[in-house]
Amino acid sequence: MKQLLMTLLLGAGALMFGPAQAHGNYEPDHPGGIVQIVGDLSFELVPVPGGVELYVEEDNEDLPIEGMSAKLTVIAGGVKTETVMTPAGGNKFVAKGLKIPAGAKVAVLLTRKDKVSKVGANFAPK
Amino acid sequence: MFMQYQREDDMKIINKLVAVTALAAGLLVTTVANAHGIWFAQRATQLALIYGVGADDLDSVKRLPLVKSIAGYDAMGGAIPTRLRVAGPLLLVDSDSQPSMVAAVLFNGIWSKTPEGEWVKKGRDEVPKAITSEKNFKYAVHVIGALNGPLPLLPEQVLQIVPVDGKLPLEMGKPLTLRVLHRGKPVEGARVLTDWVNDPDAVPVKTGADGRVTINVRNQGLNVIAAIWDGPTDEPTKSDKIEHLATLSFVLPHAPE
Repeated sequence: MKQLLMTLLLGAGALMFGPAQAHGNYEPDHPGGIVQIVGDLSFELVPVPGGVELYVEEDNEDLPIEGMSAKLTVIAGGVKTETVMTPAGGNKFVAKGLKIPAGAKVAVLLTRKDKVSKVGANFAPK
Repeated sequence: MFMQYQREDDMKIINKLVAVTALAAGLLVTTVANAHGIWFAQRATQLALIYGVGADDLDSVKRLPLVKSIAGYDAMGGAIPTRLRVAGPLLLVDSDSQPSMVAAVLFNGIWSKTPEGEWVKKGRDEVPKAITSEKNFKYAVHVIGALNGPLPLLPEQVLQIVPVDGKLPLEMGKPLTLRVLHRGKPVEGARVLTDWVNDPDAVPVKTGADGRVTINVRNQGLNVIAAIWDGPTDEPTKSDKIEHLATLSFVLPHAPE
Protein backbone atom coordinates (compact mmCIF):
# COMPACT_ATOMS: atom_id res chain seq x y z
CA MET A 1 0.00 0.00 0.00
CA LYS A 2 2.82 2.39 0.96
CA GLN A 3 4.59 1.54 -2.29
CA LEU A 4 1.43 2.28 -4.24
CA LEU A 5 1.05 5.63 -2.47
CA MET A 6 4.68 6.51 -3.13
CA THR A 7 4.27 5.61 -6.81
CA LEU A 8 1.13 7.73 -7.10
CA LEU A 9 2.81 10.67 -5.36
CA LEU A 10 5.88 10.39 -7.57
CA GLY A 11 3.66 10.20 -10.64
CA ALA A 12 1.70 13.28 -9.58
CA GLY A 13 4.97 15.10 -8.88
CA ALA A 14 6.30 14.30 -12.31
CA LEU A 15 3.05 15.50 -13.86
CA MET A 16 3.32 18.84 -12.02
CA PHE A 17 6.99 19.16 -12.88
CA GLY A 18 6.39 18.73 -16.62
CA PRO A 19 5.10 22.21 -17.45
CA ALA A 20 7.37 23.90 -14.89
CA GLN A 21 10.45 22.53 -16.64
CA ALA A 22 9.14 23.46 -20.05
CA HIS A 23 11.30 25.71 -22.15
CA GLY A 24 11.04 29.29 -23.34
CA ASN A 25 8.33 31.90 -23.31
CA TYR A 26 7.27 34.69 -25.61
CA GLU A 27 7.72 37.50 -23.06
CA PRO A 28 10.57 39.76 -24.21
CA ASP A 29 13.33 40.66 -21.77
CA HIS A 30 13.98 43.95 -23.56
CA PRO A 31 11.65 46.85 -24.46
CA GLY A 32 10.26 46.46 -27.95
CA GLY A 33 11.60 42.95 -28.31
CA ILE A 34 9.79 40.15 -30.09
CA VAL A 35 10.46 36.53 -29.32
CA GLN A 36 10.43 33.43 -31.45
CA ILE A 37 10.95 30.00 -29.95
CA VAL A 38 12.50 27.09 -31.80
CA GLY A 39 12.54 24.04 -29.57
CA ASP A 40 14.50 25.00 -26.47
CA LEU A 41 16.07 28.05 -28.12
CA SER A 42 14.57 31.53 -27.82
CA PHE A 43 15.48 34.34 -30.21
CA GLU A 44 14.63 37.87 -29.08
CA LEU A 45 14.90 40.52 -31.76
CA VAL A 46 15.11 44.08 -30.46
CA PRO A 47 15.03 47.13 -32.74
CA VAL A 48 17.07 49.88 -31.06
CA PRO A 49 17.94 53.44 -32.21
CA GLY A 50 21.38 52.33 -33.39
CA GLY A 51 20.31 49.17 -35.20
CA VAL A 52 19.01 45.73 -34.26
CA GLU A 53 19.98 43.45 -31.40
CA LEU A 54 19.48 39.72 -31.13
CA TYR A 55 19.53 37.81 -27.84
CA VAL A 56 19.68 34.02 -27.74
CA GLU A 57 18.58 31.85 -24.85
CA GLU A 58 18.64 28.11 -24.41
CA ASP A 59 16.43 26.50 -21.81
CA ASN A 60 15.64 29.96 -20.42
CA GLU A 61 19.29 30.77 -19.84
CA ASP A 62 21.59 33.03 -21.81
CA LEU A 63 23.37 31.05 -24.52
CA PRO A 64 27.02 32.13 -24.78
CA ILE A 65 27.37 32.91 -28.49
CA GLU A 66 31.16 32.89 -28.66
CA GLY A 67 32.18 31.00 -31.80
CA MET A 68 28.67 31.20 -33.26
CA SER A 69 27.39 33.39 -36.07
CA ALA A 70 24.01 34.87 -37.00
CA LYS A 71 22.62 36.10 -40.30
CA LEU A 72 19.65 38.46 -40.35
CA THR A 73 17.35 38.68 -43.37
CA VAL A 74 14.93 41.60 -43.70
CA ILE A 75 12.39 41.76 -46.50
CA ALA A 76 10.38 44.95 -46.87
CA GLY A 77 8.80 46.62 -49.88
CA GLY A 78 10.11 43.92 -52.18
CA VAL A 79 13.69 44.55 -51.10
CA LYS A 80 15.76 41.91 -49.33
CA THR A 81 18.67 42.78 -47.07
CA GLU A 82 20.98 40.20 -45.56
CA THR A 83 23.28 41.15 -42.70
CA VAL A 84 25.88 39.10 -40.90
CA MET A 85 25.43 40.17 -37.28
CA THR A 86 28.35 41.00 -35.02
CA PRO A 87 28.83 39.12 -31.75
CA ALA A 88 28.56 41.58 -28.87
CA GLY A 89 29.40 39.42 -25.88
CA GLY A 90 27.26 37.17 -23.75
CA ASN A 91 24.22 36.04 -25.68
CA LYS A 92 23.99 39.15 -27.87
CA PHE A 93 24.47 39.87 -31.56
CA VAL A 94 24.10 43.33 -33.11
CA ALA A 95 23.48 44.70 -36.59
CA LYS A 96 24.52 48.34 -36.36
CA GLY A 97 22.67 50.85 -38.47
CA LEU A 98 20.05 48.37 -39.66
CA LYS A 99 16.40 49.37 -39.56
CA ILE A 100 13.39 47.10 -39.66
CA PRO A 101 10.54 48.84 -41.48
CA ALA A 102 6.95 48.30 -40.36
CA GLY A 103 5.45 45.21 -41.96
CA ALA A 104 8.84 43.73 -42.76
CA LYS A 105 9.45 40.00 -42.70
CA VAL A 106 12.51 39.12 -40.70
CA ALA A 107 14.41 35.86 -40.38
CA VAL A 108 17.44 34.85 -38.35
CA LEU A 109 19.76 31.92 -38.92
CA LEU A 110 22.11 30.95 -36.10
CA THR A 111 25.12 28.78 -36.89
CA ARG A 112 26.43 26.98 -33.84
CA LYS A 113 30.04 26.53 -32.76
CA ASP A 114 30.49 23.40 -34.86
CA LYS A 115 29.99 25.68 -37.93
CA VAL A 116 27.47 23.31 -39.49
CA SER A 117 24.47 23.04 -37.12
CA LYS A 118 21.97 25.76 -37.96
CA VAL A 119 18.81 26.88 -36.19
CA GLY A 120 16.54 29.49 -37.69
CA ALA A 121 13.56 31.60 -36.68
CA ASN A 122 11.07 33.63 -38.71
CA PHE A 123 9.59 36.83 -37.30
CA ALA A 124 6.73 39.00 -38.45
CA PRO A 125 7.16 42.32 -36.59
CA LYS A 126 4.01 44.50 -36.42
CA MET B 1 -37.88 -25.27 -43.16
CA PHE B 2 -38.03 -22.83 -46.03
CA MET B 3 -37.28 -20.05 -43.60
CA GLN B 4 -34.15 -21.88 -42.39
CA TYR B 5 -32.82 -22.29 -45.96
CA GLN B 6 -33.63 -18.68 -46.68
CA ARG B 7 -31.68 -17.62 -43.57
CA GLU B 8 -28.70 -19.79 -44.58
CA ASP B 9 -28.72 -18.27 -48.07
CA ASP B 10 -28.89 -14.80 -46.58
CA MET B 11 -25.99 -15.59 -44.30
CA LYS B 12 -23.92 -16.87 -47.24
CA ILE B 13 -24.58 -13.65 -49.15
CA ILE B 14 -23.73 -11.55 -46.09
CA ASN B 15 -20.55 -13.55 -45.48
CA LYS B 16 -19.52 -13.06 -49.11
CA LEU B 17 -20.26 -9.35 -48.89
CA VAL B 18 -18.22 -9.05 -45.69
CA ALA B 19 -15.32 -10.95 -47.30
CA VAL B 20 -15.38 -8.78 -50.44
CA THR B 21 -15.60 -5.58 -48.40
CA ALA B 22 -12.73 -6.70 -46.15
CA LEU B 23 -10.64 -7.58 -49.20
CA ALA B 24 -11.36 -4.25 -50.82
CA ALA B 25 -10.56 -2.40 -47.60
CA GLY B 26 -7.39 -4.46 -47.27
CA LEU B 27 -6.35 -3.57 -50.80
CA LEU B 28 -6.98 0.10 -50.13
CA VAL B 29 -5.00 0.03 -46.91
CA THR B 30 -2.20 -1.94 -48.59
CA THR B 31 -2.08 0.51 -51.47
CA VAL B 32 -1.63 3.46 -49.14
CA ALA B 33 0.61 1.60 -46.71
CA ASN B 34 2.94 0.54 -49.52
CA ALA B 35 3.54 4.14 -50.47
CA HIS B 36 6.28 6.00 -48.69
CA GLY B 37 6.53 9.74 -48.71
CA ILE B 38 8.98 12.50 -47.94
CA TRP B 39 8.37 15.41 -45.62
CA PHE B 40 10.24 17.86 -43.44
CA ALA B 41 10.32 17.77 -39.65
CA GLN B 42 12.32 19.26 -36.82
CA ARG B 43 15.04 17.04 -35.39
CA ALA B 44 17.11 18.49 -32.50
CA THR B 45 15.90 22.01 -33.46
CA GLN B 46 17.12 21.60 -37.04
CA LEU B 47 15.08 20.82 -40.11
CA ALA B 48 15.41 17.33 -41.55
CA LEU B 49 14.10 15.62 -44.66
CA ILE B 50 12.27 12.48 -43.62
CA TYR B 51 11.46 9.42 -45.75
CA GLY B 52 8.81 7.01 -44.56
CA VAL B 53 5.18 6.62 -43.60
CA GLY B 54 3.44 7.02 -40.27
CA ALA B 55 5.83 6.62 -37.37
CA ASP B 56 8.29 4.85 -39.67
CA ASP B 57 11.07 7.38 -40.04
CA LEU B 58 13.19 5.30 -42.41
CA ASP B 59 16.81 5.50 -43.56
CA SER B 60 16.82 8.77 -45.47
CA VAL B 61 20.62 8.87 -45.87
CA LYS B 62 20.42 5.68 -47.95
CA ARG B 63 17.93 7.48 -50.21
CA LEU B 64 20.03 10.63 -50.66
CA PRO B 65 21.05 9.57 -54.21
CA LEU B 66 17.34 9.46 -55.09
CA VAL B 67 16.79 13.10 -54.10
CA LYS B 68 16.42 15.05 -57.32
CA SER B 69 16.09 18.52 -55.84
CA ILE B 70 16.22 20.41 -52.58
CA ALA B 71 15.37 24.09 -52.43
CA GLY B 72 14.85 26.89 -49.94
CA TYR B 73 12.84 30.05 -50.50
CA ASP B 74 12.64 33.38 -48.69
CA ALA B 75 9.43 35.23 -47.81
CA MET B 76 9.27 36.71 -51.33
CA GLY B 77 9.66 33.30 -52.95
CA GLY B 78 13.25 33.99 -53.94
CA ALA B 79 15.61 31.03 -53.98
CA ILE B 80 18.10 30.59 -51.13
CA PRO B 81 21.13 28.35 -51.73
CA THR B 82 20.16 25.14 -49.93
CA ARG B 83 21.65 21.68 -49.64
CA LEU B 84 21.12 18.48 -47.71
CA ARG B 85 23.77 17.61 -45.16
CA VAL B 86 24.27 14.11 -43.81
CA ALA B 87 24.38 14.25 -40.01
CA GLY B 88 24.55 10.73 -38.61
CA PRO B 89 21.35 8.98 -39.69
CA LEU B 90 19.66 12.26 -40.69
CA LEU B 91 19.49 14.45 -43.77
CA LEU B 92 19.50 18.02 -42.47
CA VAL B 93 18.53 21.06 -44.47
CA ASP B 94 21.51 23.38 -44.82
CA SER B 95 20.58 26.84 -46.12
CA ASP B 96 22.73 29.96 -46.47
CA SER B 97 20.03 32.01 -44.73
CA GLN B 98 16.80 31.19 -42.92
CA PRO B 99 14.11 30.10 -45.41
CA SER B 100 10.34 30.63 -45.21
CA MET B 101 9.73 27.50 -47.22
CA VAL B 102 11.70 24.44 -48.27
CA ALA B 103 10.90 21.85 -50.92
CA ALA B 104 12.31 18.55 -52.16
CA VAL B 105 11.72 15.94 -54.85
CA LEU B 106 12.71 12.28 -54.66
CA PHE B 107 12.44 9.78 -57.50
CA ASN B 108 11.90 6.36 -56.01
CA GLY B 109 12.27 4.42 -59.23
CA ILE B 110 9.97 1.95 -60.93
CA TRP B 111 8.30 -0.75 -58.88
CA SER B 112 6.28 -3.76 -60.00
CA LYS B 113 3.96 -5.98 -58.01
CA THR B 114 4.34 -9.66 -58.86
CA PRO B 115 1.36 -12.04 -59.05
CA GLU B 116 2.61 -13.37 -55.71
CA GLY B 117 2.04 -9.94 -54.20
CA GLU B 118 5.67 -8.96 -53.84
CA TRP B 119 6.93 -5.49 -54.78
CA VAL B 120 10.20 -5.52 -56.73
CA LYS B 121 12.18 -2.54 -57.98
CA LYS B 122 11.89 -3.44 -61.66
CA GLY B 123 9.82 -2.27 -64.60
CA ARG B 124 7.18 -4.17 -66.55
CA ASP B 125 9.82 -4.91 -69.21
CA GLU B 126 11.58 -7.05 -66.58
CA VAL B 127 8.45 -8.37 -64.85
CA PRO B 128 6.01 -9.00 -67.72
CA LYS B 129 3.48 -10.79 -65.49
CA ALA B 130 3.35 -7.93 -63.00
CA ILE B 131 -0.10 -7.02 -61.66
CA THR B 132 0.95 -3.41 -61.77
CA SER B 133 4.10 -1.42 -62.51
CA GLU B 134 4.52 2.17 -61.43
CA LYS B 135 6.98 5.00 -61.37
CA ASN B 136 7.15 6.70 -58.00
CA PHE B 137 7.81 10.38 -57.42
CA LYS B 138 7.75 11.96 -53.96
CA TYR B 139 7.39 15.68 -53.41
CA ALA B 140 7.53 17.74 -50.22
CA VAL B 141 6.87 21.38 -49.35
CA HIS B 142 7.29 22.71 -45.83
CA VAL B 143 6.09 26.12 -44.69
CA ILE B 144 8.19 27.65 -41.92
CA GLY B 145 6.30 30.04 -39.67
CA ALA B 146 3.12 31.79 -40.72
CA LEU B 147 1.85 31.77 -44.30
CA ASN B 148 0.87 35.27 -45.38
CA GLY B 149 -0.13 34.83 -48.99
CA PRO B 150 -0.50 32.30 -51.76
CA LEU B 151 2.01 29.50 -51.72
CA PRO B 152 4.07 29.79 -54.92
CA LEU B 153 3.72 27.00 -57.45
CA LEU B 154 7.10 25.35 -57.73
CA PRO B 155 7.95 23.83 -61.12
CA GLU B 156 9.79 20.88 -59.56
CA GLN B 157 6.71 20.03 -57.50
CA VAL B 158 4.82 18.27 -60.28
CA LEU B 159 2.09 17.43 -57.75
CA GLN B 160 1.62 20.14 -55.14
CA ILE B 161 -0.81 20.84 -52.31
CA VAL B 162 -1.62 24.52 -51.74
CA PRO B 163 -3.86 26.20 -49.19
CA VAL B 164 -6.61 27.95 -51.16
CA ASP B 165 -6.80 31.04 -48.94
CA GLY B 166 -3.05 31.54 -48.76
CA LYS B 167 -3.00 31.14 -45.01
CA LEU B 168 -2.94 28.45 -42.37
CA PRO B 169 -5.10 28.25 -39.27
CA LEU B 170 -3.53 28.90 -35.88
CA GLU B 171 -5.33 26.12 -34.05
CA MET B 172 -5.92 22.45 -34.63
CA GLY B 173 -9.45 21.37 -35.48
CA LYS B 174 -9.99 24.36 -37.75
CA PRO B 175 -10.96 23.73 -41.37
CA LEU B 176 -8.40 24.18 -44.11
CA THR B 177 -9.32 24.15 -47.78
CA LEU B 178 -6.59 22.85 -50.03
CA ARG B 179 -6.16 22.45 -53.74
CA VAL B 180 -4.13 19.65 -55.29
CA LEU B 181 -2.45 20.63 -58.53
CA HIS B 182 -0.64 18.61 -61.18
CA ARG B 183 1.65 20.86 -63.22
CA GLY B 184 -0.41 23.78 -61.93
CA LYS B 185 -3.77 22.33 -62.93
CA PRO B 186 -6.42 21.07 -60.48
CA VAL B 187 -6.53 17.32 -60.03
CA GLU B 188 -9.76 15.44 -59.47
CA GLY B 189 -9.72 12.28 -57.39
CA ALA B 190 -6.40 12.84 -55.62
CA ARG B 191 -6.42 10.89 -52.35
CA VAL B 192 -5.72 13.28 -49.49
CA LEU B 193 -4.61 12.07 -46.08
CA THR B 194 -4.97 14.62 -43.32
CA ASP B 195 -2.24 13.24 -41.10
CA TRP B 196 0.43 11.22 -42.90
CA VAL B 197 2.45 10.72 -39.72
CA ASN B 198 -0.17 9.83 -37.12
CA ASP B 199 -2.97 8.33 -39.20
CA PRO B 200 -1.54 7.00 -42.47
CA ASP B 201 -4.23 4.30 -42.80
CA ALA B 202 -7.13 6.73 -42.67
CA VAL B 203 -9.68 6.58 -45.47
CA PRO B 204 -8.44 9.24 -47.90
CA VAL B 205 -10.62 12.20 -48.83
CA LYS B 206 -10.83 12.70 -52.59
CA THR B 207 -10.46 16.05 -54.29
CA GLY B 208 -13.34 17.38 -56.37
CA ALA B 209 -13.28 18.42 -60.02
CA ASP B 210 -11.73 21.75 -59.01
CA GLY B 211 -8.95 19.95 -57.13
CA ARG B 212 -10.30 21.16 -53.82
CA VAL B 213 -10.72 19.36 -50.57
CA THR B 214 -11.49 20.69 -47.10
CA ILE B 215 -9.97 19.00 -44.08
CA ASN B 216 -9.72 19.77 -40.40
CA VAL B 217 -6.16 20.40 -39.24
CA ARG B 218 -5.33 17.59 -36.86
CA ASN B 219 -2.36 18.64 -34.78
CA GLN B 220 -1.24 21.53 -32.62
CA GLY B 221 2.25 20.67 -33.73
CA LEU B 222 3.58 19.13 -36.91
CA ASN B 223 1.00 18.57 -39.65
CA VAL B 224 1.95 16.51 -42.66
CA ILE B 225 -0.83 16.40 -45.23
CA ALA B 226 -0.35 13.99 -48.13
CA ALA B 227 -1.95 13.76 -51.56
CA ILE B 228 -1.55 10.74 -53.81
CA TRP B 229 -2.48 10.80 -57.47
CA ASP B 230 -1.86 8.35 -60.29
CA GLY B 231 -0.91 10.08 -63.50
CA PRO B 232 -0.38 8.67 -66.99
CA THR B 233 2.82 6.84 -67.72
CA ASP B 234 5.58 8.32 -69.83
CA GLU B 235 7.21 4.93 -70.52
CA PRO B 236 4.46 2.38 -71.27
CA THR B 237 6.92 -0.48 -71.70
CA LYS B 238 8.18 -0.02 -68.15
CA SER B 239 5.30 1.36 -66.10
CA ASP B 240 1.50 1.49 -66.26
CA LYS B 241 1.27 4.80 -64.40
CA ILE B 242 3.19 7.36 -62.41
CA GLU B 243 2.32 7.59 -58.75
CA HIS B 244 2.82 11.11 -57.44
CA LEU B 245 2.88 11.52 -53.66
CA ALA B 246 3.07 15.08 -52.40
CA THR B 247 3.18 16.37 -48.85
CA LEU B 248 2.51 19.80 -47.42
CA SER B 249 3.82 20.20 -43.90
CA PHE B 250 3.68 23.00 -41.37
CA VAL B 251 3.74 23.49 -37.63
CA LEU B 252 1.03 25.05 -35.49
CA PRO B 253 2.90 26.46 -32.50
CA HIS B 254 2.02 25.27 -29.04
CA ALA B 255 0.86 27.63 -26.29
CA PRO B 256 3.44 29.67 -24.39
CA GLU B 257 4.84 27.70 -21.51
